[in-house]
Amino acid sequence: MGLTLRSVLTALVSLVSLSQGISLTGPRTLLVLEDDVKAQFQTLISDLEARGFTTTTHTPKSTTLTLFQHEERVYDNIIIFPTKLKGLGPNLPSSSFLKHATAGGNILILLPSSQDDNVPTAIAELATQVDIYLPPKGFAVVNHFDPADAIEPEHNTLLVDLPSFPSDTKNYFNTGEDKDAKLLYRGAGFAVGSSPLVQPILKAPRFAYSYDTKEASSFADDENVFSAGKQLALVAGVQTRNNARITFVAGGDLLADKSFTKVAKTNKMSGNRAFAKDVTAWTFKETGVLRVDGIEHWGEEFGKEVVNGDVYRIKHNVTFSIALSEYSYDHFKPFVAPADDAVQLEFIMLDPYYRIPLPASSSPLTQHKNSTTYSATFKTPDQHGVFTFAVNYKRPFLSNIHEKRAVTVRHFAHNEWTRSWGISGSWPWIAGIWVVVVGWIGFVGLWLWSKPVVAEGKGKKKQ
Amino acid sequence: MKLLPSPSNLLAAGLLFGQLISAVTPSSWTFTDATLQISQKGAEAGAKQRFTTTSPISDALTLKTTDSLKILLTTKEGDVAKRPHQLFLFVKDTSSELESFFAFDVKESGKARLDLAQKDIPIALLTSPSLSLTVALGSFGQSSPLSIEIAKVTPVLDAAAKKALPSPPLKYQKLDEIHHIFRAEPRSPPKIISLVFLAAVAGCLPVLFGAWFALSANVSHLPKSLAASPIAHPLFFGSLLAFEGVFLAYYLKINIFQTLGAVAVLMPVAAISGSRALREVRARRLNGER
Repeated sequence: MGLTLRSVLTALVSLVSLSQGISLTGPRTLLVLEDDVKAQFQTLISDLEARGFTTTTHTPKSTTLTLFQHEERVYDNIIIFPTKLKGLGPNLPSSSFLKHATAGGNILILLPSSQDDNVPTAIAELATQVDIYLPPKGFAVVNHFDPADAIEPEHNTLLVDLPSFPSDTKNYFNTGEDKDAKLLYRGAGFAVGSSPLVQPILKAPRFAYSYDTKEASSFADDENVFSAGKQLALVAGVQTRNNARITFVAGGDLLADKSFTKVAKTNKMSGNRAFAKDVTAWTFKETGVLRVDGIEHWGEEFGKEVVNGDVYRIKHNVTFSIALSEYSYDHFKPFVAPADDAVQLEFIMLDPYYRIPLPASSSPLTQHKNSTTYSATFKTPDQHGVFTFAVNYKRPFLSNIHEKRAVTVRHFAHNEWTRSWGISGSWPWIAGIWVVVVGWIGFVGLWLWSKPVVAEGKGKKKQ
Repeated sequence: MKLLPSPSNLLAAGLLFGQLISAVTPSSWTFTDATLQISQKGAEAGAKQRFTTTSPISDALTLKTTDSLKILLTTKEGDVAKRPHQLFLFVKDTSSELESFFAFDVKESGKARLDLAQKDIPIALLTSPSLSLTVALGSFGQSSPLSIEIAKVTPVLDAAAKKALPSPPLKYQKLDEIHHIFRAEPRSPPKIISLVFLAAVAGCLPVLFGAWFALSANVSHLPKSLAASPIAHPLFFGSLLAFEGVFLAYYLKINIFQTLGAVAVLMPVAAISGSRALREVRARRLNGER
């Protein structure tokens, strides 16, 4: 809810003050870099500023740098540029990054492309904490099968296809005009753990591998290969449980000016600049943020007269609908779930009694302008109790949605059962009652008014 | 530095150029003498299966829990036996596209060897119906690398290994659908049986009345009783009928409070008229008419 209110406010602010897009977290961006590095990333920084981000530059060792003031975030987004230093300054321990993310801020980390450069300790620590495993210093990825430059014998500049994902995952990282553009990559790569919070964005080509350039210069033996193929990630995104985002780029040159160039092999522009936009947009919450615009449920008993009521009856049809929209740079637009994915509704009392897909509804009860309404009708279980409608929509690269609505499911009222004459098996028993009634009335009449016919009749005997 | 090329210099330049050409002419990485062997722990090793860069192993192979796989080959750059920088065996689950790799042990002479026990292969791949084995070799420089699928292997897990499989890690994705299974609706026996028993029960009534009238029951004293107590008898009998009517109404629509109200009205009527009517019956009995 807090997110929704905040997003509405920021959306309003963006409409009033800026024509460009703006991050849902906020525009205040901290660039942690040394002066000589800034020149290598001019385009990235100016592209960000053109999208409405306001940048502040600090060197890693800066003593005036502080991420929190009065326990509030000073910056919304942080970019750590590659540095030659072994450690970041005293104001940037790994815990400060986690605190920043816990407070909802986003972080983009560019690791050095050269195997001779260090990864600062704080960054390596942070990586381990979010289930990303960096190789030690001196590792580099090579691909003998598709080197960027056929003449260069080192094979350490890779041509990588733009990311593609299974059909149940939204692809926010291939939005450039040229979908077949190749990315120029140089760096070490890293391995990604099995946590669902961390998602590889860009993976190495199939036969590429990361090896120790010092120890295994002549032959890549088992001990000196870090990882290979699709297990080797080049870019990975972490989305924390509070939807803050931390993105690791294993080779910082991927987003540097020198990669925004023509690829000799294909004689076309590399896809790096568009990819840089996609990666920063996702990390800084310009894309992939979902919003719930409305939840409505109603039942067979009262129809659409009573919406979001508290009580439903067992074995009655109930309709549940949820309106979802997603943020796209500067506005919310209807969210369309990927083809093989589904927004699912659970109807839970301790365990889910139902888990059903919510298809997009063409005729929602309330028409939302900028959202898609997902709706489904189902029959309440033959079990009374307190149930919960739950939409737990957690997917790679999308902000989490976990909405719950508790309702009572009551039993049949006494007058809602089938009447006894409607049950054919009860007919003999009902007939039995009426035979007794008529028989008794008849007996009373005969007892009152019967006249003994003969002298030795029953009348005498009865006395 | 000489500006004019002498014949010897030209020759040297020509030789150098020739060397350059041979260096630039892309040769390619390849392998020979390649065999694959599956052997079981404690048992005799299986047959060596030969494969080349153009003819992979076509037989269906299975890899059981205690099996291990041995691949031997010699790598060559062009025609010269040489060690490449990369010689990996990629093991891929053909259904999920999941892939893992294993580096060969290669000597300077290019003789390469890989021993791969089933337990070395990640669990996620072992549950696959079919694994494809691909040899990839390549190195720095201009020579073109080689990747070739050499065989397909079906991993077989024994019951104990299957039991020990860890549950797959949590993944954010669409979950299986759940639909509530309702209890069976209450059922009635076939209607024809109900109707037969209904007829049998209803049939008791004529049998009962028939039996009473056959035993000479009658209502001949009715005029006499009405003459003796014209109000009490109809009122008493009528109140009994009214009771049944109230019960019928209770069965059909009214509630318990309305029923109690109606009964409360009928009760004194039935009690008083009943006592008067029974007094008349007693009078008849004392007269010896019953």
